[in-house]
Amino acid sequence: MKTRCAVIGVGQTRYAAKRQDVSLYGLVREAALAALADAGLGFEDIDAVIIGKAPDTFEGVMMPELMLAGALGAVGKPMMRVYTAGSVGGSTAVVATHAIEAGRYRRVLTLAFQKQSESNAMWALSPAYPFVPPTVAGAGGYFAPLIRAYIRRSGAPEDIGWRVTVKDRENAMRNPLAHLHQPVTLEQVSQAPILWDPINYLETCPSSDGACAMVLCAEDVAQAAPRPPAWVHGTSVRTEPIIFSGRDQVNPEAGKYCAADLYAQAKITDPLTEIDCAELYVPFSWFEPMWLENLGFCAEGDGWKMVRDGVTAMDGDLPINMSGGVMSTNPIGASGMIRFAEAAQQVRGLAGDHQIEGARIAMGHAYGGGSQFFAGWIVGSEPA
Amino acid sequence: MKPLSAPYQIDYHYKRSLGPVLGRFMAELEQGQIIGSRCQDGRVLVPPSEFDPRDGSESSGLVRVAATGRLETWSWQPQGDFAFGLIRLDGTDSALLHRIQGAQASELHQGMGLIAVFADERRGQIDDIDHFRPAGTDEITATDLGEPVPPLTEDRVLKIPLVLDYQIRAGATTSDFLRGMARGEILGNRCPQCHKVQVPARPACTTCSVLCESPQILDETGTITTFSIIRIEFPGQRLAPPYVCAWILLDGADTALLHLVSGDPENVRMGQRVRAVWKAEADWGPTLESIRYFEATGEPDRPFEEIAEHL
Repeated sequence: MKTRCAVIGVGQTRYAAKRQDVSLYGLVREAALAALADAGLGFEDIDAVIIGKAPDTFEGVMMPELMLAGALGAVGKPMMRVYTAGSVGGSTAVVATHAIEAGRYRRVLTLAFQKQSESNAMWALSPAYPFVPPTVAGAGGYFAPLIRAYIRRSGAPEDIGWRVTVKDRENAMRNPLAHLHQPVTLEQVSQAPILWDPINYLETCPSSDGACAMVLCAEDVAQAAPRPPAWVHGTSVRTEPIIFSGRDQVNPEAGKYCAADLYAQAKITDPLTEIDCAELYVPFSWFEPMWLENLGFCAEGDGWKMVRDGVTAMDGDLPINMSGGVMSTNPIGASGMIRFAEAAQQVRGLAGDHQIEGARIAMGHAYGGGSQFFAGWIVGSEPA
Repeated sequence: MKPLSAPYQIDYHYKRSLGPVLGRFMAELEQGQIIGSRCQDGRVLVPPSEFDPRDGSESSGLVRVAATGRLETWSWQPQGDFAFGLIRLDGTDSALLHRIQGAQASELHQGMGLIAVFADERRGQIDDIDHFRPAGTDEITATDLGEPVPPLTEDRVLKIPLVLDYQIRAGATTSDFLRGMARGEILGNRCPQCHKVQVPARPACTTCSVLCESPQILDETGTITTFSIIRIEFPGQRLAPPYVCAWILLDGADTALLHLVSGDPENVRMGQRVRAVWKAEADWGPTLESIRYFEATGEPDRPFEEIAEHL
């Protein structure tokens, strides 16, 4: 590593089911210009632009990096697009971090987006491939059997999935940008119609339009930034195939490797006490306890107890998804970067009404595919 | 034998939100007018842009432009008797791609005067300009830019039909597996190193990355490891909900297969014993769909511990 990397600018769009007031250009510029303003920089100060989004079938735009180069001030500069399914927002930020740490660029604009209203996510994620029966039914269709397996294996009571929804929707009320500003009660969640048994409607994330951008920079640039930086203490990306004999899809190896790599880099030995708060990629409420276990915040089988005991609430020992999380806002390709950016805002002290007081170390996390791609970072208020 | 292949189509009408600038451009085309955007350095771009693509700076406004322009370069399309041309409208600084009709290939030349011909029925799309045709010298009059135009404030969405036809090719081993399905056989294969049997058969072990043994026929009975009851409806869905999608661990196999399970969804259980129900032999083909679905055998369920490692 030639230099430490820091986040000096964060910009997010307002999120909604349909942002039909803006073009794709307008959507990404809303986030990019906000991030640049936060950093006190303009496009002219940026050395490279690194973007990410989930499948091209969502918007029907191939090679969005070519289409968006002009909108993001990238003409004449290096620009690339990263793709790792739903974890892409996270892995895009990791690639951008590496570009800084390698000493190749001093200021990188990184951005991830999705405009799901341009198509239909259930359609886009349910391709009718030849040779196989029609067993594909969107992301929920894939993850529902895994959630059933988690519940059976851990013995968790059914209200755990409801509790996560109630918490995240409540947290979203503190985040003016969140898509869903609709608090729900345990009773309401418990009565919601089943979509993919055992997942019900209110245990499911929305489909959103939105973009999230960050300005990452080298150490000397960060020291001159107008607002407090978030320092990157560790980044990691890990991958595994969708099927192999003995694969544990409930608690995937790649997720564990990703977490272990992050903690080693950030010199964390006890994540539960050393990490102040985390933004985890939880598109179905049951994934909160599943990822708590996968990321080593507790023993396998105990994640649901942390939810039950309020450990992950805003006032708990390990607040999770203070922004309202994916359960309140899900522009799929951007969702990973939102997790990373929200973690950065916490340690910068700039998270507004959903700030955890005194947060010094935070984690951002993303996953994608059939629980195959994992990305994470740990950021701190001080350099590592 | 040659690997099998089958068609696969992506067909969707995308809903492209245009935003204030392209939205206004399309609204003006509907009225038989063309607008451009002004960059901060004074250049005028057609089609208009929210920003100057050179540096990302915000455009300073929209302005009506002439329907006449000059041909910069072109590509003649002999089969259609027209040319695709890049046309720089008078008073603007970028070229618009459009069709040129009403001139022979030999008549086209750089700097040639052209004028937009609007379609009689306009829908707020780029082909509201039907084509450009050669302009008489008396038609090229107004080269000045027109009055400023405000950006569009209401949302405007353009339907973009997109149809992509692919031919999906199965690999050699997958083709062997699929030909087995056409004979009423489920083929798996064993890894010589870890001795696990994967189904469908694959060329190499997904764990050890070594070549697998020749495919073997597996039992048609198995155990449901986990499952979902699909109750949601969505575009492109081929079955009417509710229906059960289950991971089925065939007896003797070490990887599970995703398939449908028949009967009342509420009776489906983890650990439940099931068997393949094939379509009528005449309907067998090189697809997993030769198996209609799996149905319960009525045997006692396997204890959870026996399937726990396959979740």
